[in-house]
Amino acid sequence: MTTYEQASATRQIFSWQRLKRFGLYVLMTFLLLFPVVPFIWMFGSAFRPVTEIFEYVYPLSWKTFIPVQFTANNFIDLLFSEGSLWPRYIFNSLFISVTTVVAGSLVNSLAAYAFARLEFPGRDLLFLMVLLTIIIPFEAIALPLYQVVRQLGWLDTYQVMIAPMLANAFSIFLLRQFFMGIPRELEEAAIVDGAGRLRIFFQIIIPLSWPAIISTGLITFQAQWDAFLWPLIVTSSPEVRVIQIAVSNLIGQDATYWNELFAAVALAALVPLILFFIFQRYYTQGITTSGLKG
Amino acid sequence: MLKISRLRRKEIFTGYGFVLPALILLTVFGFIPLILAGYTSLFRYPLVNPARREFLGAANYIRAFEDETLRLAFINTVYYALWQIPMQTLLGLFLALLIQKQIRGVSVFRTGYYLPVVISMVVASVLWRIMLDSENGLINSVLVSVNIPRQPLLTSTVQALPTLAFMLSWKWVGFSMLILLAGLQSIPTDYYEAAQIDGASAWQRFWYITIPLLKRPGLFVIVTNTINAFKLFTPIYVITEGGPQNSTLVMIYYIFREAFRFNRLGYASAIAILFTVFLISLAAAQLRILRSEPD
Repeated sequence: MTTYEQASATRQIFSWQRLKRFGLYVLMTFLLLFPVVPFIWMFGSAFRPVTEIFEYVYPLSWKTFIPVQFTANNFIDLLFSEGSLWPRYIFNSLFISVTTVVAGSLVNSLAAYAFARLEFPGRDLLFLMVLLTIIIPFEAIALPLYQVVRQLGWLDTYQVMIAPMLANAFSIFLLRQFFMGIPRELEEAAIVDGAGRLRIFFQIIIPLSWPAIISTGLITFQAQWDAFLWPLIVTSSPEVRVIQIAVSNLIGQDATYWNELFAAVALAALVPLILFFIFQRYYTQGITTSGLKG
Repeated sequence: MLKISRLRRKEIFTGYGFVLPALILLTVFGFIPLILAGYTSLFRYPLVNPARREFLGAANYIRAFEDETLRLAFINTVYYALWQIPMQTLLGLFLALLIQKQIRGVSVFRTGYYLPVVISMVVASVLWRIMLDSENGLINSVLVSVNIPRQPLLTSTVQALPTLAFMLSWKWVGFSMLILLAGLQSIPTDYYEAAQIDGASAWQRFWYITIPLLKRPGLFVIVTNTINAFKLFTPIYVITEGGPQNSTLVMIYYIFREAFRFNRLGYASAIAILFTVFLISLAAAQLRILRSEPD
């Protein structure tokens, strides 16, 4: 083989690899259309006047996805028209989600710390009991849970959507894993200095554990923001209504205000999307740890 | 000596104190309802008027096995699961394989494929209800533009469940992808290099290295997808309400309807218990079968 032939052979291999790489990008881009196009269509429709909503669906063109007469009125009408309850729905969902995350993180990390570090009789048995609750599907206990909260007089309140979701076996499990990875020496020095466990927990353990707390907190936030079956069962008054119920009520109406519906759907989608983009790293960490260790 | 034992006692005390809030909450909102479900299932138990309950013994359970509509709901649920679980798992694996290499711009694709997981089930359901409309829907418009005739989709008793399975695969495939991607990335590259030196083809490397080493995350994905498929509720409530002609009537929706539309809490509880036992045994069986496979 001459040098010339060798050179052309390597060039061929090189371009064959480039072609493969190019094909991979084409395939990945084509597949990206499936998740992304519905989003573009949804946000696009939210900025259309009501007359235009279904006008350009068929035949397919750029007008199908991009508003021709761009308007933000749908959002303004939805949120700021006289007597609109939408600000309230959004507040309710945010309030419930944030409260559950804050109070739940405290309850779960305290328990996780005890399971990871403290020694007391029955510890392993209690931890097993906690883990058992992961297997019980929420749908299975929704009916009797309804009876319990009705007995407590909690129907149509905030706490009915918060309290049952605070303690979470899955969060306890993940946080315990994380705490067990923290070197004991860090605490031992503090114990010698006479610090109590509660102080060690707040001043040493928590500051080291933000990644794990953020991961479990995000999962909790999303679960609460998305919650539908439970709020549907235990609430009926508009004062405590959450955004997911409000959105699903819109589509059930006889004369649907499609433009407002799209604006509402876009708002409901926006909050978790923003959180996802800010905390993407913690978010995927939480999900994948659950898969590899669970 | 005395001091140590006092410290020890203090630690025990602290330990119980730390786990107590979580345990109380899990007991009140987890274990007690579970026991209560068993109790309620033995009664004719009107939801709106519990004082008028009436002890029935096992009658609700016997009735469940004779209930033709319940049988239909169960068959529908299994049929739906048989569409959705393979679709979502295999698509997830395919996407994970596509994006596993750290090539330029790959994070854009990873994020993009994951987006539908981030939005809520209600948002996804409303969005797809509008897109799947047989008259004004985007999906039929796309089909026509690639020369496929308009489809009845959700208005057809044959197409409704597979269409929903497709929609929910769209919603959850990113989850399968992410877990399997983490699994793929934990396989040491030396294995592939060694196999390549020994002359193994790409297909052989995939079949004898990737698949066996993906077993653990794969198992997790399959079990999770199965349980989620059987718990289908929100899209049914928002999109089809069980129709057309009960063709999308699934278990959780049936239980919900019995309790809150037809006021039969006792009967609904009996079905819920039977279905939970079924789900847990299914997950246990999957874990056993897939784990015992020879390596």
